[in-house]
Amino acid sequence: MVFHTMLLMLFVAFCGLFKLRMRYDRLLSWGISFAFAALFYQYWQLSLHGAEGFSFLWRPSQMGNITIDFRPSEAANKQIIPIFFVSLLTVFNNSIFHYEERKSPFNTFVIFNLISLSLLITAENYVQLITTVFVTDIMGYLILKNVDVSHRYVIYNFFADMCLFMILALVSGRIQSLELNRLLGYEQIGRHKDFVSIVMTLALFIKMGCFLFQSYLLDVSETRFQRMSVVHLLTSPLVGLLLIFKLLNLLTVSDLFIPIFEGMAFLSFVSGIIGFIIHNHIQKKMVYLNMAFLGLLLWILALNKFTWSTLFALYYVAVYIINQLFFKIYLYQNRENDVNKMTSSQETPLLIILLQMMIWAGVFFTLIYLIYQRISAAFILIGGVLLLLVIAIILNHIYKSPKVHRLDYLNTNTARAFSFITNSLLLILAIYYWKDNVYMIMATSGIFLAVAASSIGKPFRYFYNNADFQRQDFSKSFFFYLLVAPLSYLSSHLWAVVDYFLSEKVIASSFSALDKGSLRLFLIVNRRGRYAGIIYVIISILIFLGIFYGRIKNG
Amino acid sequence: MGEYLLLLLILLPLVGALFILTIRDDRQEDIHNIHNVAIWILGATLLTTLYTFSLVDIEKNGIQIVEKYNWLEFPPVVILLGADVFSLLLLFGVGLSFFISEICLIRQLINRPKALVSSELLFLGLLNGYFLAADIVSFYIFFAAVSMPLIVLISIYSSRHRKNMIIRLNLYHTIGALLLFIAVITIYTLKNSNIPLNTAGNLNLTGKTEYFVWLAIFFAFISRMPIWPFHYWLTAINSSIRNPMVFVAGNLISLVGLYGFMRFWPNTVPETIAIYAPIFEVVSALTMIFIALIGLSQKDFRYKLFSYTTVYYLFYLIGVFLPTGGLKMNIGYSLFAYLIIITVLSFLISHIEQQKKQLNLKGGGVLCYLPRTSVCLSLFVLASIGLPITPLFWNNFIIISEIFNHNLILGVAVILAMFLAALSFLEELYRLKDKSFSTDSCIIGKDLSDFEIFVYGGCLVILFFSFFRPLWFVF
Amino acid sequence: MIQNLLIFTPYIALAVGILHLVFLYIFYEDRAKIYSRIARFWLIISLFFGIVFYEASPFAEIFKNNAYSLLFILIIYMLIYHILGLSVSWFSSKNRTGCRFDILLLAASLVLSLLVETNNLLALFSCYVFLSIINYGLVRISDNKIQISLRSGISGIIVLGLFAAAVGYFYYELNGRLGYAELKTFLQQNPTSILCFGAVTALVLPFFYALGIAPLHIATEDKLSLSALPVSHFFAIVLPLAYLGAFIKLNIILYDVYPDVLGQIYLVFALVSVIFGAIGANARINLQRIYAYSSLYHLGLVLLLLSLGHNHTDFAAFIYLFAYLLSLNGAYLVFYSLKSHGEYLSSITGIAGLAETRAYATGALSVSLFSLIGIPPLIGFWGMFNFAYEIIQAKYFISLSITFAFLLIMFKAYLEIIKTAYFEHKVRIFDTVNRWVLLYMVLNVLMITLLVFNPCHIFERIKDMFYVVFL
Repeated sequence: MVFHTMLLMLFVAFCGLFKLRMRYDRLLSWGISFAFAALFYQYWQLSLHGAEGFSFLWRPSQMGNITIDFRPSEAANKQIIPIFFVSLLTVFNNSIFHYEERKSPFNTFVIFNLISLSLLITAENYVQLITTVFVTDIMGYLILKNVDVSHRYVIYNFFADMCLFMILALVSGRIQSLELNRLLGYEQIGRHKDFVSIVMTLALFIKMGCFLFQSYLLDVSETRFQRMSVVHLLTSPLVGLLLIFKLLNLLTVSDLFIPIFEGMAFLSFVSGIIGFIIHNHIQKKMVYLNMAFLGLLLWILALNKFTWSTLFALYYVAVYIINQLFFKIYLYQNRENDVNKMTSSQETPLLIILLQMMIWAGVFFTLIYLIYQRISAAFILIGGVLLLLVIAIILNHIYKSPKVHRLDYLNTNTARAFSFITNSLLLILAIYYWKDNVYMIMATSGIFLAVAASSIGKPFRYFYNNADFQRQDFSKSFFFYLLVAPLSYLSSHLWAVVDYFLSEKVIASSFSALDKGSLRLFLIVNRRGRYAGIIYVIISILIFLGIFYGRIKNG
Repeated sequence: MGEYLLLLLILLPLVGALFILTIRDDRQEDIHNIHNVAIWILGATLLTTLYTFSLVDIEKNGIQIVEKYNWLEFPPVVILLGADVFSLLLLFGVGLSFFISEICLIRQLINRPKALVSSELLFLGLLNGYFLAADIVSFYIFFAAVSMPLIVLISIYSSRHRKNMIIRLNLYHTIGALLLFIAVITIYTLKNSNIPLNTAGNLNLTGKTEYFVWLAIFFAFISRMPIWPFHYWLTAINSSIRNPMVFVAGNLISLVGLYGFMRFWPNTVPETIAIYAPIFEVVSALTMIFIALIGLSQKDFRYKLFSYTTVYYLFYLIGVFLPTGGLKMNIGYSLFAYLIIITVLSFLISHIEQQKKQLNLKGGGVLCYLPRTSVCLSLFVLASIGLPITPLFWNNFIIISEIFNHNLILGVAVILAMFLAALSFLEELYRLKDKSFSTDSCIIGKDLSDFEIFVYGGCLVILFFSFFRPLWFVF
Repeated sequence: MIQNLLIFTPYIALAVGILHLVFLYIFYEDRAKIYSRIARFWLIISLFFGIVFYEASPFAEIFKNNAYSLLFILIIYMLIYHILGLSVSWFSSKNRTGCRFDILLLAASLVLSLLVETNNLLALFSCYVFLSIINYGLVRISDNKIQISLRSGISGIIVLGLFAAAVGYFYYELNGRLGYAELKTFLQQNPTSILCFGAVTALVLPFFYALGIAPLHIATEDKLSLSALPVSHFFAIVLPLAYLGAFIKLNIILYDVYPDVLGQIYLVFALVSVIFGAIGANARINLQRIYAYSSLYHLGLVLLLLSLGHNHTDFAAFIYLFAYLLSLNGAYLVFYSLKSHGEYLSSITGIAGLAETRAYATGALSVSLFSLIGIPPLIGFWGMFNFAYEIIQAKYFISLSITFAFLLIMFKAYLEIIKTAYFEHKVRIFDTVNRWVLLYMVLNVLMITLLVFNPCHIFERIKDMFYVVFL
């Protein structure tokens, strides 16, 4: 049954590749959305009843059979279902909003991405793991549909994937197996454990876009908002997160892993917060905000011994929703990217968004509180509060903007109302789910609104007008001066200094000099005088007689 | 029907070359005839290879088809031709590569087609002989003979400015050939007969003779590989060749050296020269990184392609030298995919260069006007850097895992070099797609034709199926 | 009586041919084609009778016909036949009849066959003298006759004088019985006599001089480079083979008496030739001079094989020379096609850009050069294979290293030729190639490529014929 669901999903996805006229494309997009929704429901039901998956033999090998496995356990479904849900929301939002000229291919890539992520979560061997990671990267690239923006995305992910490839090759060579469940054995028999752990960790940080590695995500922020959101939340960063669980046995072979991980989580969170405040470009803000969310989540995971739970799934959905809310602000501000230039409009949609944000804040805090209760680490609460605080500050910057010009009306699109309805329903559902904490939700919402309305955030406006803060990307400069520049210098000079100089000038020239010297000697010896012939005859006779005489003498 | 099959595989292309030399080439119809004859010959060779494949048991190792020919009585030399799965795989890969090249060339205007096609067929015939040689004398004969048509091809199609490089490269190759010649004759003299190739590794030589023979063999095959500091001339020449088929042929020089190591070199390196093995590994790894770095800085796509091929050949060479005998087939499968990818990339690059000239684009952005070419190039670049659904990925995974098993630093160096080579490809791909270079949206370049798309698509299908079952074409 | 007369028919045929040509000349025949045809006709007749009566010897004590001599005569006559055919185009372009050339070549054929057949020192000396006179006559066909005459004249006379002195000495010591067997017996009785050895020196040196072994190579270099093309062709291809054939017979006798001494001497001269040949080829820009030095190198290798002094090494020397001459012949055939505005080109710059318009000629040149280096699967490889096999068996590793090191140096010279043909810009317009030249070129390339496969066990048959000399 699960196999049929996957097959149907594939079929639905392929339908999106048909090139149709605009009108029919929209119809197809809606069709895909509803079909996808039905498939989500079906899968959810199957997961509740513990349906069996499938496994195909791909090819045998000397290290063990390579199979395509999809046998989702309960733990795996806790990851698959929220991702499925977020993908569903993405597909629906795509159908609602007109940010893609051709909607169906976008839906197709999102569905393919989901299939790939599902196979990644349920992968039982290295080959399936690496293949799904690659496929997800490619889906991200196809979703971006922008050559300039995707440049660094491709390079960073490729580097991370190569590190992953390298480490898995190293490990499989040692334990002579392709099974992921045999990774535990590496602890006993493995060599170079620190190296394995550190490189793998580095790869995951790059994929997640953590502190120092967020450049590619900043590049991605220059594409359309929704594409950016999909890439942030459903492709590489998510893959990095999922790989932590798949490869945990490998990551923890070194004692250095936990300190590095926690340190990076902290730095990502802090730099995310700072970046979210400093930048005036709303899409860049989202990059940093998501980085902060991720940092906090990583910290939580570390404290929870890297065990996924439903709360974390809900955390992820919450992050998606806040992304959507900011997207709508951007949309209703007439697609204005610069927060400094946004207007303090009192239009209904913007007010509804503010209300939704308020409720979201309450729900989010409740979620954080529940997580805190489970793990008992004060940092979690502090982190959650900080996040809400900075979001409130930014809302203050937007809604209390000194600019009061009139916003142009957007093109008519009645379907947009569905998005508001969906978000509202989700928030109501969340309140209902945590009805025991409704007072906390209300209180938090109120405080959130108060902070947003107050002037706490006013001093932070200074950063918007400072060009240096806006232009500077520390991570870009860091890598440029540490890696790119030396590499370029080395590669351009190696040819001249070593290649040309040594091979051509030294080797070839020395033989050439030898050649010239011998020719000169030859021409001296081989003179063509009149008596040269006589002299050579005499020399020849002397050679004959000399050797004969020598032989006689030696007996 | 099994008799003379291997001889047929060698003679078919040679006969084709001879036939083409008799065709006139002053009219357009004649040029078409030349290409058609070549395609038929190459197709026949491929079919013969497939038929030969059907006669062997693909699960078994070792030579399975043997043909014996008495050549000389004084000194007594019996020529052995033998085929196993590995040699047939390489034969098929190279044959397919040339077949694809010939099909792609048929619609292009090329200078001196008769010389090109006849030399190419001659080269293929001799290369087939090299892969099928099963004794040391015939192995040497084909090893040395293969250089001849290559010299002709490179001399005709290389840049005039590289003439001194070509002289040096030829001298260098001749040194290699002479070294192997001396080693072979020494072995022949010591054993008083021509010995089969698969026993060459168990010669039980001693003292200075052992030292000399193995060193000579080593340097003979190394002379075909772009190992620093002797890589310069090969690099300079290959990167200047604009004709894609000649580029492909030029790149097969390193395959000659690699194959020599796989066949002639013993599984366990003799004690006398085993102490030099770490030096060799270091030099190989450094060369890989070095070449990859230079490829990164070069603006010429063809140079990047060449640096990529160099990195991969050295990677396979390191794999050959690992103290494990089980990698041969993995290298074979990987090489098979690699050959097809290189061939297609060579032609795509050639097409792009032509369009750049025609559209007068000096920088990048040419792919903005060539959507089909852009898709094809992207797919094949991804395949070349190890996209998981190609046989290159899986087999490289096995080889790299064995390298890591042997030495961590060597493994890291290899990965680094492969990463840099792939990075240079990706960077160039991006440069070609960079819209900031494109000036006028009204320019329409001459994109790939349906026929070419069909051919390249076919290559992708071959690669795809080869990932699932390496010898899927064996019936 | 008739039977005895029939034995002479090969020689009579040649003599008649010479007379025929003289008559034609007297009767003002001015077409080179006719002279060449007549000469070739009589050559074929002579060859035919030579094959029929190959075991019949005129003056059996002095001249011994056997399979060995037949082998050499066959090859020599075939080579002369095709030189006669090729010379037509050359002489026609110079508006000359080529009569003198044809007559001299027929005379040379006669003398060369006697040279190879002879078992007698006096006969050997006589043939050598006649050949020197014929060579002199051939040289005078060229435009550079004065230059060549001066340089080669003095040393040639000295060498002849030494030869005469040696023959005279042995005549005196052996009481006029100058057969090889008698010579051997005498030498065996006086192995340590310096006078004897001096005489032996004087016997060997003329052959070194004739073959152009260093340091006696200057005259040969001049003859090859300054003579007319057909003459140079004859000197380069035919004479070395004939001299070698005669020298091997003599050497069998001498080497038996002085194995170590002669072995060492030959080794020294061989290595000097190898070195001079390789470096000299790089020092010259005239194509024929380059090939002259190339000949020096290859003859050095032949001498190196002879220095080993066994039957199989002598045969290997013959094989090597045969392969070498076939390859060199290919190069000379290309020279016949290098014509621009009626002028034959000899400088290396003359072949600049040859590949652009004369693909076949360039291909043939490349094939011949690769064969000279010994690249398989060409005939040169077979010669090199035999050479290396014998040298390694004899454990002459240092000599082997030297020869191969200098082979690379010589290859560099060949590559310069290939480079000029392929890479330089065309500066001349080449004349249309004569179709017979083209045909010979193709045949030569086919022979170079196909003979190595030992069709019809041809090598075994050649060996059987050669080994008769050791009986």
